[in-house]
Amino acid sequence: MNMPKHSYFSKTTSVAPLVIFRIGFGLLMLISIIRFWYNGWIETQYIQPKFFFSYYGFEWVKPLGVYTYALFAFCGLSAFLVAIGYKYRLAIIAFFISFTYIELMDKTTYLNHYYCISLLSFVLMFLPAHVQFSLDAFIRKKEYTTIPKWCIDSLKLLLGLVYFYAGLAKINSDWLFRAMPLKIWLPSKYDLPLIGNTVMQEEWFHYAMSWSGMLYDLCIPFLLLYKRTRLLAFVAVVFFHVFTRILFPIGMFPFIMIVSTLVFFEAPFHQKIIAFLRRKLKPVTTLFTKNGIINLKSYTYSSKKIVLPLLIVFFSMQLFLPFRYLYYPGELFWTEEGYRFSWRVMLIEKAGYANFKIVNKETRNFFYVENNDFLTSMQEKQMSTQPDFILEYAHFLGDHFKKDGHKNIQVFVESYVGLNGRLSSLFIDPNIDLYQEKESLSHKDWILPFKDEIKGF
Amino acid sequence: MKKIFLLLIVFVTLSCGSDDSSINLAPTDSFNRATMLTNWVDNIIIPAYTDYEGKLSSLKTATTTFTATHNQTNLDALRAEYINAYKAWQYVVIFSSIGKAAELDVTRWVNRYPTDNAGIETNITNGSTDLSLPSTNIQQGFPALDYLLYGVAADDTAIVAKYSGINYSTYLTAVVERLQALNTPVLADWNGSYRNTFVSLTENSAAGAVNIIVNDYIYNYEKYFRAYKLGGPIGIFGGGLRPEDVESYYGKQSKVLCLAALDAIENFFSGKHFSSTTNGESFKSYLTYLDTMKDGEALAPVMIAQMQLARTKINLLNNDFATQINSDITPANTAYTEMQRLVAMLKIDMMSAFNVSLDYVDNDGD
Repeated sequence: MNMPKHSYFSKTTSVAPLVIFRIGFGLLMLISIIRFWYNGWIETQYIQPKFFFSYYGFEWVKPLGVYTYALFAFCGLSAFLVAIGYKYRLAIIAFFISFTYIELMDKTTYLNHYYCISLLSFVLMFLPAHVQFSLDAFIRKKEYTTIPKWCIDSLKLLLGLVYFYAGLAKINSDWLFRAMPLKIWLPSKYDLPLIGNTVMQEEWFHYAMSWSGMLYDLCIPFLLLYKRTRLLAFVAVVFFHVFTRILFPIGMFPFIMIVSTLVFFEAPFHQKIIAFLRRKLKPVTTLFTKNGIINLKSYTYSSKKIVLPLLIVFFSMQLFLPFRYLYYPGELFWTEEGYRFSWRVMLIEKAGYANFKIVNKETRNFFYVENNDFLTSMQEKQMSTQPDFILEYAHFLGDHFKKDGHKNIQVFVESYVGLNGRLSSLFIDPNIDLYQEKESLSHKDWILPFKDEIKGF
Repeated sequence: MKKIFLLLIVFVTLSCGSDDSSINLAPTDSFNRATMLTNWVDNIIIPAYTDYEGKLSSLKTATTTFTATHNQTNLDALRAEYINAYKAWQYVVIFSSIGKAAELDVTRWVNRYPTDNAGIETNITNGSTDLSLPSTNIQQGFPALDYLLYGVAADDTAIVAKYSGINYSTYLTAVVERLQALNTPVLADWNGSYRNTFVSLTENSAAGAVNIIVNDYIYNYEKYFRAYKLGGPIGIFGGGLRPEDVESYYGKQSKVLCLAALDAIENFFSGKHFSSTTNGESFKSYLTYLDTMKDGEALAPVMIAQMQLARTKINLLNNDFATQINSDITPANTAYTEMQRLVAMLKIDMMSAFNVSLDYVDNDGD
């Protein structure tokens, strides 16, 4: 690529925000892994289940039995190395691969914020987050003060996209004009002190929360970009995430978003933090260095020709993916075809019930399956509202009973789903033998149509 | 920068604190969960247990009379008390996963069927009456009584004759006393400290009383009502038709018991006071309260209509489900379908409206 000298891609900026981002990200990931382990979730989510739901094309990714613990340990260790900036490139690549592998092991545990972490770590693989205030820099005795501006901007862009698309997804008739699902969720928080039995029960509050949530998500990236509104926007970010943390069981996500948002601040803010940390670490660092570290001016990419186009393709995909649902007929919230990987966060209240019937095609003998013989309650909950889960599970059941010696197997499902407070209705065509249906990215025409209409994105 | 840090610290502390907040203000909104809990306990649960305890006591008296003087009249009287007590059980089984009943695991002992009649005969022959042994759980309870009062011989004269031997009488008495021993502490606990403990659990968490009741209610409906009473015997879960698996196989009381269970289920849903026509706060009024906030169809009337439809279909069956299954399976399948439809409503619509999770799934959300 031949760039004019003063083009955007040749602009430079302080590396400090990226350094703070690296440290914050690494530490929070380490804490997340420890917390996951400590809560016993490795055992309950990846060891105990007898069956795991796969992503299309990633059927080969499975938990590793008892070695799953080693995988988590590896992931946590790489997060720690990212934080301290030791063998950074290798560490962040290791983190990206191990974390993404963990997320791919079972579709049941899909969370938008896990996806967000995978993407952030992907971008971080290409950014020089270790060229200052890192163990790598310390060992090489070489630090840089500036890096290309697009490095920091790419993180801002990704975070901005997450917020903006989350806001866009809220522009729909259920969210704005029925205050759903907040109207279901908020009144059930009656046990919160002070607000539980007052505003949480008020309809105007549900609407106010829906509308302000939508406006918040749409505006926050822009408010963070402009210096004049930045502090206000940050206060809003902290308030919003803390509030949702109180209301919903969303784990580490609020803290990750709050810390990530710091990247929007100007370099002097981050430089002060680094200076502060350096002072605290001085007693240790002076033990090892006699001559100090050489300060170089500007970090330049040697592989810019590969990295830039790669990131451009990556971001183009990110822009496109949330809109892929337009390719599918039917209501997105009902079919969930194109729902994942689109920043549709806490958007619908969906519950289902799926009762599988195994039929012998010749004798017409049948029996129903007890789902908890095969699935954990969390898996069953996810399975019963999502067609791709239902199909994969139907095949698992068919194969299982075939192995048990059953013949001429047909698998039918009687399934009901309720969406955003509507009465439950039939979800999957009960006359379709799911054992004969194949998973693909095309529309599943055995999903029964949604009986209502939801307008919007 | 310091300001930002201060802000961060304040908010992070706030949000962490909410995890284990022990502040518990009494609900004051227009729907009062404490009132609902009180209604459940004082007007439904405790009266139902008291009634069951009384019926067991009458059963004991009739047993004593029969074992002293075994004749047809006393057998008929005993059978009547047996059916009364069995029906009363259908009203308390809904709460059998709570408190003392859960601790004693009463459902494991009181109503596991089909009963092990061979095991019962062996026990009688050996004179062994220790019914606390784990393996004896299918040699006691109502299914065992059913066998003892209807199934030990071909006709009533022969049955009465069996009790001239001391062993049969001793075993019968042991089974009845065991039923009493399993209920007396449960009732005592509800009448004692557990009542207040339970009523005070108003929070929306896995340990909250509403959540516990919702989960148990659905579990009871799905398992003890839908699956055991009809689904299993008509082969819904495999194994073909199993008429011998119906409740009260020997006494042929399956329909009466099934309808009693459905009454108990519907009454609890509506908050109907035990053996009274008064209704108190309940699932129904809670749903009505939540319905007023959301637009769309009201859920409670739909669910009650479904229960009534199920009752209509059950009423079309033979008094003895086994006879029904052996003659014509179609009406039994129809009745099951209507019973099954309510499972979806309970698990999807009601759970969604209450926003309580089915059991406790310990995990992050999005």
